Amino acid sequence: MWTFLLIRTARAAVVLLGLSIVVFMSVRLIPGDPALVFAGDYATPAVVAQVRERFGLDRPWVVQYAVFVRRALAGDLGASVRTGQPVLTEIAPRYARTVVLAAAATLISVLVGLPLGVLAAVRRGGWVDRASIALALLGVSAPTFVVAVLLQYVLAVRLGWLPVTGGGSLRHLVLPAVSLGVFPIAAIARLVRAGLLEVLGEDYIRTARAKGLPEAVVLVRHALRPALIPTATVVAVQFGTMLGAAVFAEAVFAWPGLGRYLVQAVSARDYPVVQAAVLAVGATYILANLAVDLLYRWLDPRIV
Amino acid sequence: MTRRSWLLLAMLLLAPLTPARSAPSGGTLTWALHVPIDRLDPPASFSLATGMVVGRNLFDRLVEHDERLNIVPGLATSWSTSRDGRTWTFRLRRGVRFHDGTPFTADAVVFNVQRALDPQLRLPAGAFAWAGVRAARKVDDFTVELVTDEPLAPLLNNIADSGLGAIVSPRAVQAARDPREFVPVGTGPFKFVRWTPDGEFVMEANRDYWGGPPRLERVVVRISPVPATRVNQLEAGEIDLITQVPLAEVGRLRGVRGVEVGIRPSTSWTYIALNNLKPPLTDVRVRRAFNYAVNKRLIVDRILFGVGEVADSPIGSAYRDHHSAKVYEYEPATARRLFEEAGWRPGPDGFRQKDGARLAATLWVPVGRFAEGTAIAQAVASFLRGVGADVRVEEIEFATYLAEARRGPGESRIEMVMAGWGTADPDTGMRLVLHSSQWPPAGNNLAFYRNPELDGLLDRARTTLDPQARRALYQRAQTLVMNDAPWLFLHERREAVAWRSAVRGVRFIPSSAGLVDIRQVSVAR
Amino acid sequence: MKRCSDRLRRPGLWSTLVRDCSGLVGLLLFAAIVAVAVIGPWTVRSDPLRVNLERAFAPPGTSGLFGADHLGRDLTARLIWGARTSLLSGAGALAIGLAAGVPIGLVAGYRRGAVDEVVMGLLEVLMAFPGILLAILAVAVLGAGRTTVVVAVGLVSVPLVARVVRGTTLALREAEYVLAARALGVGERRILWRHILPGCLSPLIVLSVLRLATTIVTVSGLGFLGLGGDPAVPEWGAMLSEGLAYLRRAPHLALLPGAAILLTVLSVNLFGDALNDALNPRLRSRTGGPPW
Repeated sequence: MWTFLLIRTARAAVVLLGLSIVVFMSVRLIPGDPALVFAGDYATPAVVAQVRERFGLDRPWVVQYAVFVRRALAGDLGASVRTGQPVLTEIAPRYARTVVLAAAATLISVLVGLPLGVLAAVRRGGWVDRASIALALLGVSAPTFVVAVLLQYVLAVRLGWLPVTGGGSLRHLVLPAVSLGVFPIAAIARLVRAGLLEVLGEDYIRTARAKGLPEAVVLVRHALRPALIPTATVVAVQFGTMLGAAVFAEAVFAWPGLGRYLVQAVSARDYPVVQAAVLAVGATYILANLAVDLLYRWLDPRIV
Repeated sequence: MTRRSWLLLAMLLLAPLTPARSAPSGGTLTWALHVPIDRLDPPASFSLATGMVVGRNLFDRLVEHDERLNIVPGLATSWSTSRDGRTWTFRLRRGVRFHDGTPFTADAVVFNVQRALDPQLRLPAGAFAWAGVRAARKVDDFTVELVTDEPLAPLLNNIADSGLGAIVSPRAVQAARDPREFVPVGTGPFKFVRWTPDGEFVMEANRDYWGGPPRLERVVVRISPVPATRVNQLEAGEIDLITQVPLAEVGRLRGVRGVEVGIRPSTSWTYIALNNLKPPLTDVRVRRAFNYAVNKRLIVDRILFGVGEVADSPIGSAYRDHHSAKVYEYEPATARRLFEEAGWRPGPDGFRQKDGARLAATLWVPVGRFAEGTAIAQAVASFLRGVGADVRVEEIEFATYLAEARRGPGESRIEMVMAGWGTADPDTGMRLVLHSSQWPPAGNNLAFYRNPELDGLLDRARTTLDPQARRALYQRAQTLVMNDAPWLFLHERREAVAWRSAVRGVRFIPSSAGLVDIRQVSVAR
Repeated sequence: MKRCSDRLRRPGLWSTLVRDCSGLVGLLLFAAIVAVAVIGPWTVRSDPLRVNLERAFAPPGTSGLFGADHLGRDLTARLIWGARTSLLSGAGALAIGLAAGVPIGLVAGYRRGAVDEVVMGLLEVLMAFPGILLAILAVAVLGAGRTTVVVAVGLVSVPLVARVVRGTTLALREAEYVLAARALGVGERRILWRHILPGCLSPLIVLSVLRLATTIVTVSGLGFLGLGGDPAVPEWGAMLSEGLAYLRRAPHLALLPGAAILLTVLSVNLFGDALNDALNPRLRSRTGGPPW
């Protein structure tokens, strides 16, 4: 178990390093001059040059990367080309908000998707099952931004039950989280249903029933557990995916998270922010996948 | 007793019941801006938010603007110029203190001017305010002389303009070794409390303000960049005042109870610069035709929902020397005639051509920079295509826009580009975008316009201190420019601001920075 | 896949009915959308680009079937032309993903060893961010525009395609006929092309169909974020985003393009699901890679 942990972690670290290099390199290829954005409309060429020098935008790439890594390990991710503020302070609160959003969406997806899938499997062929399949298919097909606009229109603009846009409170979190969660709800429901159906056909289930155990016990103790293993890993993967899809929920609802900020930073050629934001999300994704691997291994040691 | 004396007695008896004009009726104003404050040192920043929030409230200027851009006394109680116009003498207000307790004297003024003009320090906004001043001299504790190379007519407007000419406490400047440590200390009606760049900017009333303390006790400024969110916050009561109301919502908001909407002229305008060096735009007839081809009234009406005014001058109507020179009404027939006169005939693909060249151009619009910019650009392109000019819209990133705006005449790739401008003085309003010395990369004359007669008018107007003479010069200048059509004139921008009815006393001062002046505001609870 | 008509004679087995017929429904719906995309632009008389401010915000029914947008452009025409843009972009991105991913997967799976390790490492790094972010990054580097959007989204698909092909190749390279061919001295390229690739076709087809849904959505997503190039050109994602500003005033501006995207993706998924069940009952469904 421990060697497994070590190897997987080392591997994750290597991937993270690779990620940082890829991000760093690609970001340097972007056309346009960031020094100009920071200096602003009225700045003289002298000011622009000073900015370029201060952020080291004219040194060779290798040197820039080394400096970047050294600083990053010390907690200094540079300063935003746009506002001059430390990147860490710019992205930390936004990152937190995106993580909160993704976590909320994941929670919703489990709380809704899991029971839905179980119900559909248990009442196979019934109207619940039929409805679930149809809804799940719809959920899996609807892009996040479409769902978001629909929900915004119906629940916020027409009915006025929830705020149209904004962040900062639980009420504001509801619509974006639900919009994000639609896809995973559908995916999880489908997976749970399929997994459960497969398990319910197994011999040992028949045996358990033959032994006279109540259906609920059969379900929870014997059937659910093996069906949950792939589900657990999917949930964790979905969390990582939602970190990306959050860009759309944030755009529609103006949730002040990292996704939106990243898109803005990309337009503004704000290199330090783009680098840090992509790395932050990428690292989270890698960590989530690592956690998935470990979880999988822990839940079912047979599987490697 | 006579009637009169009864009245007098009544007034005397009732006097204690009326609130003293200077006693604050309290209240906290929560204000949501559409752009962030980028730093706390106004001479260092052209940011609208810094100027409007920090510059105007925490600091005073030697002279101030009122709502009509008249110059009124500020930290200077009177001023005069020498016979040759090259020396300004300002008599300063006595008994004024900075928020940190240091006294306001001529030393402070000299310090600020020298600081702004110091090329090592790079204070672009400050340099803009005091541009043209060669030296500042202390005559005595409350008298300052400013020496200019030539008579400098725009001086008063420039130094009155929001944050640009803010007088900062010398001690505060010296105490901050790093710009990030700078604490904004001025003489203004509000004092700095705290600022978190991503969060709030908070200021509180300065009870010892020389002009009497403001009515508000406290002001909290937040950033809310998404227009729909700002409106939601206002309607939900979370915010008391918002700037840049999305134009599509103005009509609806006016009908909402408890909300007021104010639309005011500004000194800003939006236009499309035509590269006068690139054929076919070198031909004035073509440029005029472009102007006649576009239905600006319809654009203002449908795309801006009526919040704006069709341009009748190259500068906005809030300038005191604004002159309603000419409006290019929608006359597609005139446009076609002008094209024909200039030799541009319809070609086989429907677009005009002449000597083998096509009448085509690309219209650049920077993303997100102008209200409804993309929509306006598309409408303009559509109108032009309707008269046979193959104009295509290209959205460009702001960073690219800035880069392209710096290319000189030989390398500029600009054909048509949407742009905006707005200041407090017609000199900075016209000269910096129309004088031939301001071609990029030196300045912002994106149209590469050159008209020696205009140059002469602007140069003279800059050094003419007599307001009447100056006005006459600018009148001629505006008429000249409108006839020469270096730009595709669009409209003057109007600002839409909204606040909750409980907020009273919102004023509007057109200037480089934002419009809103909250120094007289009170919030009734 | 049992025939749809068989199922109709046996009412009661709803799920299998849905499953098998749905594939047909999906295919037909998708074919209809493709038809609209291909033929539509010719049948529509109004110019989707023509601005007519007088008719701005005209509601559905008053000016054409679906009304006009904020600039008075005919929404029906824009929706139809948008179909063409979205489908072509999605298909183009898929083609790029296949064109790059298949050779990479084949080579990595066949050669194994160092080449495989390096390639897999690189792919793992690329898969270490959510696809949409990779696409945004790629668009930022290449500059916004229709072609770059297609390339960027194609790039995002490469790792998945390569991985599937690699997996199949790894299995197939040990097959008897392959071993025989190698023993006979047949060149690598020929083996890959004639012996291994055909074996990959089945999973590739399913992957392609399902992936098409993702590429269409991602392309629309980038358009939605404003990264899709010329704003005048009708594209569903961009139309949705423009319509958001007027959600109160004219909701149809946003809701119609949204519905269009939804229908298209739904039809592809229906068809792809059925195909998946038919061809690859063992293959795990694409719960790992969502349409955004």
